[in-house]
Amino acid sequence: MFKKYFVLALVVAVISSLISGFYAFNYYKYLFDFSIVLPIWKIVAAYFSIALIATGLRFLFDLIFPKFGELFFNIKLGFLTIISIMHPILMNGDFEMAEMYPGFAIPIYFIFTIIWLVLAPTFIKKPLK
Amino acid sequence: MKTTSIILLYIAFLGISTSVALIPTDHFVVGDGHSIDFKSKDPSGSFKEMGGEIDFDENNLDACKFNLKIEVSSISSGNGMQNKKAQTEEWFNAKKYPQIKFKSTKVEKKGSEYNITGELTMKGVTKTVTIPTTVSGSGSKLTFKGNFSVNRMDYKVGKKSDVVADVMKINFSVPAIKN
Repeated sequence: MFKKYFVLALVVAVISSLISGFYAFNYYKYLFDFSIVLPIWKIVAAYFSIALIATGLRFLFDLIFPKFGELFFNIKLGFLTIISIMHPILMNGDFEMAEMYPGFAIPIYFIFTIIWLVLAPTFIKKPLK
Repeated sequence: MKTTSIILLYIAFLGISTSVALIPTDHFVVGDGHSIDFKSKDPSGSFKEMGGEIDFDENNLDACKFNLKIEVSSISSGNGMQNKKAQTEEWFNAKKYPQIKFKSTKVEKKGSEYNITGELTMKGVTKTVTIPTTVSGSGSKLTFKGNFSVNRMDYKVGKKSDVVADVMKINFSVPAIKN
């Protein structure tokens, strides 16, 4: 049963990494290079870590609240995504072009959630009533 | 058995990806107390303002990056008239080229020193230079020190003159604080 949750995490992490990697690579190349503040390998590792934590939580939510697990998890995911953008906004910007950093980083926080919400129903199917 | 394997694989993936994500980057910013001095027969002085970012890991020199900028307007030769003249079009042309920039392309270890090769851009002219540098300190504060020479004529800074030397010896000390 847990296998589909695990596969979901890996697929979301890979797709999010590809999209964010492409976005960051082009941003660093054409707009401004933040690669020493946020290297692409760190984005990829963070996506895998977050995807695996998220899938573990989703599994637990589905176990504890069989009817409302998906709803509770999605509310939590949306809430945490919105809260998380405070990190680039409030981080100590003691580096060059720090004022541009939130504009660069915020989309990266949303890519994971969007991919998750798109793919989760395909992997974790609820029986039709 | 199958479920146990998947859970073990899950734990392994989670452990590896989280540890990698939490590895601190070796990212430093230029701290206070830096000095960029230039010395010749005449003139001598220093640049008071500089900034930039340094990515330094002595165990991974390929990943090292130096991206430094010096404010031309902060030149100080101890003579107000000379400072103003240095910023004119004939010399640094500070209005058009307000910064002297250095961006590394390669860092190599040579004995106890590091040879930092990179592109030095001054007055819109970019030349490749190699700067021998020593590194002291550890942990969250490092200091990079060294000296090298620059021929101002290579960068079209001023005209050939008997009064102002072509070659300037640059001494630098750059403290870097982990960001």
